[in-house]
Amino acid sequence: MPQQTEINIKSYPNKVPKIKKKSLWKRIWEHRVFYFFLLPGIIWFVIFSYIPMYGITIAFKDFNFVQGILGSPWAGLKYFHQFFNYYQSKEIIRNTIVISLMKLLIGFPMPIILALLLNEIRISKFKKTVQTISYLPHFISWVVVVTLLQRLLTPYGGPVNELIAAMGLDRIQFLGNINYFYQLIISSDIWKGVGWGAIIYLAAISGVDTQLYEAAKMDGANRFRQMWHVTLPSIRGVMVILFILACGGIMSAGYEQLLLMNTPATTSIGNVLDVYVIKAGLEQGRFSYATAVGLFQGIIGLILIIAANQISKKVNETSLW
Amino acid sequence: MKKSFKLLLMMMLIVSLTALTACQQKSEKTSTSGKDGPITIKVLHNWAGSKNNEPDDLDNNPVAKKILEKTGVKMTFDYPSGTEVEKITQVLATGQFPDLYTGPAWGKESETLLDAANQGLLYDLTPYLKKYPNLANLVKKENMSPSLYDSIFSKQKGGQFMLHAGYPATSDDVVNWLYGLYVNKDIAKKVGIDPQSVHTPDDLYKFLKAVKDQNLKVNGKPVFPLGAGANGWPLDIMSEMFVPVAGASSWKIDDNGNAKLNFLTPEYEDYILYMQKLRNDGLLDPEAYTQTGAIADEKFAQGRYAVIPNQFPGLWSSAVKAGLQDKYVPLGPLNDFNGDPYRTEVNVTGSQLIAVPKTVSKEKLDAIMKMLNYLASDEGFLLTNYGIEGVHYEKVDGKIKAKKEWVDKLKDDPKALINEGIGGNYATMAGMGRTVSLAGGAFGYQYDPRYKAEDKFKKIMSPDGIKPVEGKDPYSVFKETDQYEQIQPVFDTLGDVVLQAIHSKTKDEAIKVIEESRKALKNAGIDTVDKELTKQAKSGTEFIKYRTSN
Repeated sequence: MPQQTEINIKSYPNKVPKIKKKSLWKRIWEHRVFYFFLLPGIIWFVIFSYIPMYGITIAFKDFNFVQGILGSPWAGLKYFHQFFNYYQSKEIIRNTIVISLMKLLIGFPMPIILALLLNEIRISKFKKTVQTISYLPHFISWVVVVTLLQRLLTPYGGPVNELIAAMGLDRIQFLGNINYFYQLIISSDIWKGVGWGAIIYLAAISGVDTQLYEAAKMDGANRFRQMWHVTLPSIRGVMVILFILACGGIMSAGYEQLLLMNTPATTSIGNVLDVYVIKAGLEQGRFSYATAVGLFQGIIGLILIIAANQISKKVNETSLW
Repeated sequence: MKKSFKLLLMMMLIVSLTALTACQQKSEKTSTSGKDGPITIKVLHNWAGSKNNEPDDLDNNPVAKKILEKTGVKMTFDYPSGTEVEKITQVLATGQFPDLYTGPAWGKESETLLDAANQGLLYDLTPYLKKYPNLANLVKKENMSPSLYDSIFSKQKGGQFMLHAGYPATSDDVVNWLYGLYVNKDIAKKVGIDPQSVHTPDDLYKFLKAVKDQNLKVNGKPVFPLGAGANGWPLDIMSEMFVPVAGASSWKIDDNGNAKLNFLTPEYEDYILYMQKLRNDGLLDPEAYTQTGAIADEKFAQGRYAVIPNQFPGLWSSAVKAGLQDKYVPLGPLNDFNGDPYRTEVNVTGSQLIAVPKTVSKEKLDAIMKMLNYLASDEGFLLTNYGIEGVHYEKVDGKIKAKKEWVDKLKDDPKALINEGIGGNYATMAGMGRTVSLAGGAFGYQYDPRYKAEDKFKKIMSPDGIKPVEGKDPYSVFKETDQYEQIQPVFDTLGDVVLQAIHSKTKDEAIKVIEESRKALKNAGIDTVDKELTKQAKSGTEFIKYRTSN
């Protein structure tokens, strides 16, 4: 649609009245009240995200406590070399990518499905109750979630295993078992995030023009067809943008969850970069090294976001920038 | 309307900014000082378990009052919520220093403190050593373990930045911790095997198997043949059946002086595979290495562990809490790697490091040193370990005799003495350990059933007594080698690798995990370190021969 308008304007250049464009600052001043709302957010980002960025330099320095971040001597790429020469680095990177990809591929569609389902519910009270219950787990910390899982799944008196035993089957050691590790990681992550993730899609769905549904109805579309041909295409933009953003997190599999759920029995598939960075930095005091590994994570994430954005721009005509 | 809207916006902004700047602010100074009034110091007690040793009333307990009266100093305490290494690393990285640091000298945390000293973050305490003889006495080479001297004290550059406390003053003061396995005697009776006949790994396996075959249950839940404390503590002591010094990154040095890293030896591999077999055969609680302290305590209190590794003081306090003090007896003792169940030689441990960060004012530093000197004196030692004469104890023939009422109070309230300030956090700063040489024994040893039980267990576990042996820590040699930087990152994860191998499903899988790390160690140059240690051992350096895991 916007393209058509552009053509029209170009076709009749003399008929378009010249509008004197106000300068950027004037326009900002005009809408200063709205920009005021932005200010706390901007300040937050500056203080917590941009100012600390100078700390990244310790990835290239031999950090010591007295000379601090700025005064410590430069060490070049020493710590990056150390990481890539570390005998477990390949395994850690592989584990991180595998878990993140699984979370992305299985976990990403879930909030969309939940939002579509919720949208179909006509009883407002029921809809609100389901929505509230589904996003409550977002507010529970991973420590509590994992403790709950431990209590529920333990083969020694846990209700899940009691049920299994009552059915005459053998009890199963779910946690700390490599055969159930991915399933538990992915399902608990979905359980915790699905309701929260659905909010943004519900907001997008509520913005869909009702006339489109009416038109579809007139054309004989049933509820499923309306969802398929109206709702989904209407929220495609939001989906693509969230997918692009999620791509940036592929090198990050989730620190708290993995720290708590990974056990020695699952280390071969559960040892991930996020936990390794914390262990190297805080437990071993290797700040420069841990920062180098963290920076590597961040740069790969940035590259993935840019790549996903470019691909999406070409294929979908939807992009972040 | 427009005005009130603007006002609302302004208020929102102010609230946001205040919240943000509050996060940036350095933590409020909790410690105060005054020229005439008392000086309050904030002590970082960097041992995860020390929170339990804090009196409920820090100001009004008798010991704190006495310390204030004698030195003009009051203390508040801070503790780590995670590991000791994490805490000291956070302190140094954030610059949020306490007024006084004290913490165990176990390894990495002491090295980090040494780094802080050599980077100029701690006060040089040399000037105070002339003034305070009790402190000067502490830093003498002969008053600390050779390994602490070699790895920490001798490595300080340009000053005396650290003190220590808790090291036994005489051989009589060396604590026999009685590390070992303890068994529920009722279960042992059911199994029909004499607990004291269990010595070898095979004996132990058979015993645990016999327990499993009983299919015992408590409240419908199964009894595990072998359990552990939080995160598997201290199952590592079982490695002493295979190697002389516990720990994957310790060295096995034989009588001919040949040194090899434990992790590379077939004996240590046997230990890992033994533990793996116990776990896979259902003889070891599958959650033993991953459970929290609360869950481990719960299982112990419910009587769901037939056999548990521990040291005597730990076992006794857990047993008293659960009302099980009459239930557990020593199992074995297990043979050491030489086949000796009654080895007398023990490596002496127990030092707490003490340091003062440079952020502390000179006035406060003076007060801290005066206080430490007082605590390190005989008077300070007696005060912090036995309380006030006439109130908590009396002196009989020069020895300490605790008042029986306090021992009786302990039965109902295990924290009764801690709340008086006795034997808690103050005691860990009270100079060298003089429990036997100065006081004749621990508080209430004359009446407390704990000491009767301890004596009984000593007769079973170490009938020939103990003989302290000291030696250089091979780690201090390793740290000086060129290979240190390449090998240390592998060492840092070796504990996890051992656990991964123990949790493997098959023997081949475990060996694969072990071999992968062995290869990494070899590539990083571990053979060169082994050769250097062998060279030094053959040329007469006395290295640590035995060490129990803690």
